[in-house]
Amino acid sequence: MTALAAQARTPSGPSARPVSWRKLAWVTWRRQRAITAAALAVMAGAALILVLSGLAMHHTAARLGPGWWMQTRSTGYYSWAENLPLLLQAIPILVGAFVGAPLVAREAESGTFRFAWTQGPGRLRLLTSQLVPVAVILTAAAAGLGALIAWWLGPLTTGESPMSRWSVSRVDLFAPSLAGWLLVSLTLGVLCGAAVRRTVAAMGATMAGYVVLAYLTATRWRSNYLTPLTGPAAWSGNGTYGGHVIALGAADELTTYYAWPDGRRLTIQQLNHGTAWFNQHHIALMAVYQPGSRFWPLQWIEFGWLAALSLLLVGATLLIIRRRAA
Amino acid sequence: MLEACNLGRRYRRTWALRECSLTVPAGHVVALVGPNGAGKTTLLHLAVGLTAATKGTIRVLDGLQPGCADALAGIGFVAQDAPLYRHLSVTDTLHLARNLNRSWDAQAATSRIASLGLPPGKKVGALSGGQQAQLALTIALAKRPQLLILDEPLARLDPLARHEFMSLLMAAVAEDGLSVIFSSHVVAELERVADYLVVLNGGRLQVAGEVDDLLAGHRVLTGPADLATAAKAQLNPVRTSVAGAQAHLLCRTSGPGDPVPLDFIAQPVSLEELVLAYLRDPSVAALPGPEMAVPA
Repeated sequence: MTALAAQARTPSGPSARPVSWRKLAWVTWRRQRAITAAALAVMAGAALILVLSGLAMHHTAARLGPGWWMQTRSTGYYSWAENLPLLLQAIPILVGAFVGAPLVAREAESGTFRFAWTQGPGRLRLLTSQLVPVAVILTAAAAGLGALIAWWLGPLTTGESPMSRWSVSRVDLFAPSLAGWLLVSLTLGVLCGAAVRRTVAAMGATMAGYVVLAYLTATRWRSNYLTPLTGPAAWSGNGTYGGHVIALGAADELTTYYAWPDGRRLTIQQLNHGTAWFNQHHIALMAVYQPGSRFWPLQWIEFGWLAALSLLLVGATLLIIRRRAA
Repeated sequence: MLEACNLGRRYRRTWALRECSLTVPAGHVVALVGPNGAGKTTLLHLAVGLTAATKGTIRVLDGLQPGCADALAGIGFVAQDAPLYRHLSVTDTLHLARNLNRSWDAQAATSRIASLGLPPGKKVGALSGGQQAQLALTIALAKRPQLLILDEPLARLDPLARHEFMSLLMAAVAEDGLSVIFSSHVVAELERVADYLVVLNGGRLQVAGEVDDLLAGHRVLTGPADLATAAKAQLNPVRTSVAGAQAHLLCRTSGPGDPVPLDFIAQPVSLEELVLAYLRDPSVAALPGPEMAVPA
């Protein structure tokens, strides 16, 4: 105590050090623990539901053996698998709106930034010390939840099950993608809060921005991370289904078309011919697809660009905070 | 302590502060006075680095850029309405502030809180405005700053709390020898605490100087109203007021030896009268010569 006081007596010289990260860790703990704990509680609740229902489902699948899903449609696992992902999709959005957006906006709105930003660490160090731990903890939690979701979806998306892990509502729930989306949502929230400086407006902007980004990713970008392959689909020359190049779930079928043996596409008029004509001319159904082996590489590509975007968002936030007039 | 050179700050199309050149030496208690919207808060926010200058430069302490680590450590700032986290208790607020600063005199802070009678477990939001202001001042002092900057510290306080606040401030100044800049639109109590006066009006600097010099450099001439016009032409007063048969002219003076017009008597001026006279007429100014206004 006395040492501190004595040190303060001498005017701070050019050798002055900034406030240590260790001290700031306490500030982060005191300021962010409640909202971070709330976010973790939501994810823990989701995890609990996944574990309980997942154990039951795995048990059923093991008992019934291959093709179990054909016998158990009525047991409700399919409706679980259709609806639960839609709820899980909300987690990154909630984190962005309720953890990210208020981080700066609430300080700006309540005027406490005039206290916090004029203390020792300065505004940039203070923001960094709060954002980084929260982002690391929540992103790690999202990765854990994503791993649990992969386990949960396992019995429903393996073998010949018609349920695909490539589906728009499921593909971004696997660990790398979910972690990336949560991180982007969080940092987008912080940026919106710093730019708008009003909590409710920032929450709205965060959700709107996230939905636009997720929509564009699902409809335009995700299928093109790697150039899709083209190959014969399910239609073979003898008129029976075969090949299984694109059995649902095993690959991501983007589009199909009928083609001559030399690869030319059929015209619309030619499509009106009957099966016999198709067989006679060796017409094949071709698919444009991402093979199953690319599932995890594509997941990591998604995480990669989302993480890079998050860094850009953080950089933009720091720029705004530094320049912003009070 | 504070050096501004041609300082200006514009918000969109309006200048909150412009062409402000000012040098305040260390060791003073500076009152920054002006009506609402005069640019007081803008000047103080520029000094603590919450706002960046649109034009000109400002330096604090020993030529430091506001907002740099050394400036943040050397300046204790209490913003208008003393913003603190409402949901934190008094104890947690002190702990928070301690972790937000390199140096922290915990003993002084704790004993000050105790002597003020602030309940340590109570939430800041549940304290009265006066108690919040006291807590904010305690925090600003506990980091042992060289310069204390207070934005309207008296605005939310009742007369008793105002008195206590000023006592605490004056005791700290006497003990630690720190410099203080505080803004206020309460003119009445300045004389007791401030020894340096800065008046802002309409975003421009109007008066700057030591209180003693300003008081010695002005006098009030009282005489018959019908002679006021002639006297006005001769003396070019800061302000003329006529009440019934009597005219009061607030004039600059170079000293007690200055001649007094016939039928007029000269009286010293109070700081309050002086400030009000300048505030009523933004076109006149009392500033140190240009050689003092330009920082080294």
